Amino acid sequence: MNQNPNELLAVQITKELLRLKLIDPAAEKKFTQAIGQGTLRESDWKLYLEEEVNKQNTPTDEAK
Amino acid sequence: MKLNNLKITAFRGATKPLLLEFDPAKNITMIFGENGNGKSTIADSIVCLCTPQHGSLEDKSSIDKSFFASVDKKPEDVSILLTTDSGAFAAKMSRAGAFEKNPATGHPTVRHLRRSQITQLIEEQPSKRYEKLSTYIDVANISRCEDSLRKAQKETETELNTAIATLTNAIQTLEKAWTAEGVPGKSWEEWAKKESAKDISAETAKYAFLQAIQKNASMVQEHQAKLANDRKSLTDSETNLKTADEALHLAMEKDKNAHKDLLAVLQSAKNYLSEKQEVKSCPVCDNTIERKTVLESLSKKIESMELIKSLTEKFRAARQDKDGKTQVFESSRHSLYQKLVTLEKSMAAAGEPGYSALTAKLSFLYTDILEGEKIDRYLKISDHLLSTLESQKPVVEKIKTAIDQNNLIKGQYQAIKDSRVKIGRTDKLSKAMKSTLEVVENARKDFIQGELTSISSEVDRLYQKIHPRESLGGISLTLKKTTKASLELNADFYSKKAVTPQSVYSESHLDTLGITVFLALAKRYGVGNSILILDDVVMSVDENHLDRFVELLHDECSEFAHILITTHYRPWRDRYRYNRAPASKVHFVELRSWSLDSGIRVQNGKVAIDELRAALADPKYFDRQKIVSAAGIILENILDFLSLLYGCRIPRKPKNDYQLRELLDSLSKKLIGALKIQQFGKDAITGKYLPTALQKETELRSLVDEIKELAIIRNWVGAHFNYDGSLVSDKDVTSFGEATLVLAELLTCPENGQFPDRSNSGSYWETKTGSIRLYPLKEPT
Repeated sequence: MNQNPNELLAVQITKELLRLKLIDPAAEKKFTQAIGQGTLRESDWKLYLEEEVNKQNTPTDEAK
Repeated sequence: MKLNNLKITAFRGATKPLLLEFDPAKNITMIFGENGNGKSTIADSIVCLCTPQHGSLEDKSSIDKSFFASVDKKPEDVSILLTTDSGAFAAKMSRAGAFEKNPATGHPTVRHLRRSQITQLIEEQPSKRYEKLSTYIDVANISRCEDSLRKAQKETETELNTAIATLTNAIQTLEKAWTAEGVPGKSWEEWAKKESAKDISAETAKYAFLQAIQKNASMVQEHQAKLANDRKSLTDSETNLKTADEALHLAMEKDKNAHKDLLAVLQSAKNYLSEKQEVKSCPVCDNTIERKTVLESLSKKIESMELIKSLTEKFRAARQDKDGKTQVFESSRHSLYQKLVTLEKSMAAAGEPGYSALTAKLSFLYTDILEGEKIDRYLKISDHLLSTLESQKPVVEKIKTAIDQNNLIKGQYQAIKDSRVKIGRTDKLSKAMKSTLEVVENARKDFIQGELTSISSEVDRLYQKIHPRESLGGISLTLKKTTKASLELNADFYSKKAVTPQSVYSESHLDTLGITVFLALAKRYGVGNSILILDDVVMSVDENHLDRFVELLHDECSEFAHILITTHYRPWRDRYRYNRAPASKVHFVELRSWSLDSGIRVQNGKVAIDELRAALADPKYFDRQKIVSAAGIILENILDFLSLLYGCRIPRKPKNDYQLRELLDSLSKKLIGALKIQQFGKDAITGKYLPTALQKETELRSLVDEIKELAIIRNWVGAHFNYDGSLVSDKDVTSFGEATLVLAELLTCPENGQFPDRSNSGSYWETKTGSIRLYPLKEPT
């Protein structure tokens, strides 16, 4: 097998997170690279997940 | 990728620069050397160059970086250079002891296996066992991200809890305030919303004015108290001055000859005469005087006026004190005036009717009456002014309370709104993080388990190669689901299934189990160009298992760019030297004794046949002893092999250390007459030996007979000093060497250097590759 386990697993994880709509499809490549290289810090996770969470927020959330 | 050479300078045992040339035609290098001759230095240099690890030093609990440099060398002297057909890789050590690599990345993958790793893998607790394999199933980057996600999720949960606590507190505060207000409106929230919408800027401005007046009034009060105090001090000092003056005058009236002015004149005269030694006449009347007499007279008069002197000093001190107090009083009076002006201004600015009247009372401050008088006038009205301002305090406080209450409602109501928004967002983010963490954690565990399952079957396959038909195997590696990384290792033992092998396997079986686990992992993640270093891994393996292990390595060597074996285990080395193992793929290197002066000494070793061939072909020096000695050892090896193969009769010895003559005599005439070698050719396309391509058939009878005839030369020339040896001709030496070489070449597979030791056909012996067949299968009866 000629694949780096980190990279292989990174692709699997990204696919699953996209399927569950937990990350933005536009960020797929960047996210896969970052998780495969182990460079995702706490703040990065927040940014990636917040982006998708905010998209799902209804306008009434803000108005409450 | 092929390795060309390795140059090591000032690194550990390499006290002198070491150049190790690899054989580009062979992808296994065996470095044999006794302990302390530099095997680990060579292995560690490649590890340090190509990985972030430190090789055998990794096992030490604390690594002192100075150990990298050879004795008497500095870290900056250390350098390693590995040249391959894909490029050169260099490392130099900095003064601080860190390796600086060029290029910085893209090094060959190096898998370094040491015996301690094998022991630890087998003996460690499951929770620690995974650590030993973690560099192989390298998901460290994912694990690092998983850890940061776990931390982020905890932080988000804390944020969420904080927002919930803020909301709860704000609600409780507003409910309490609402109750205190008498529960106006339908609910606390409606009331809070209404209250927080109120504009209280006018009240806030009014409060600011009133607060300024109160503050200024307070300042006036303070300064007024100070002025009263300073005035009393001044009055007291005036009284003291008057008393001192009266006492002085009374004393002077009592003694008509004494006066403070006369005392001052006498004191001055005494001082003058004391300093002027040359005075002979009175400076007033010019009469001749006796200086000493006059000085004595002056002293007596001054002494008689001691009381006047003391009272004069008291008077002066009282006067000085009175002057100081006067200054302080004047300063206080001025300060009070300033504070009064400020108070008046703040009252006028308030624009409140209640303060207008008070302002009018202070309007005199701007008239041209002298300052001192202003204060006196003020003091007459101060009590009324200050008590009036004091009475306004509750009013000011009430306004302040109303403002504070409104601010509190606004603040808490805003906090409720903000918290609700934050809770909504954070809750969603926290849930998303939990789901993501679950995805990452499960994916990692499933991936590792998948790899382990896959490895398990490969480990089992490799293990069966070393231990065929031993009722062992069924090896399984399992990652515990409940913990982050805990690795179970189980295997079968006869009828017992899935037992912990440590409890039932022998030490050598555990050794080979550990090796096969690492080998399977190294193969799986080898990426084709990896270098496998087996650093002194074999210790307790018996002859049969060693053969199978060596064979296994050769079967698997195509999976790696290079296999570097270091060993001090002589049986392994000898299997290569004497064609009991497939030596043709192996570049053999022997390390001589290490010393500080010479460093690591490499002897690029050859297998025995090559040595004999080289000795026979040496055009410069015909070394009789070397030829005969090499031929003798090769012969003993061949005959040992044949006698074992055919179960030849030989007198038993405790150590099986048979000599050439005994081995030769063990071959019966019938056997010698039947010995025959068939050599086969290869298929041009597949490169495999074809059983139909018989190239040559050679009966061994005449060759063996010739050797038997010449065998005595071995003792005469190759082993001992004696007269008979001198009589042996060079021609006979050559014949003995050449006959041995022919026999060895006939019996040795050109592909892997092994003897024909397989009997699968049931009618002859053959090499693994099928290149050679040896007849007969059994000694003829």
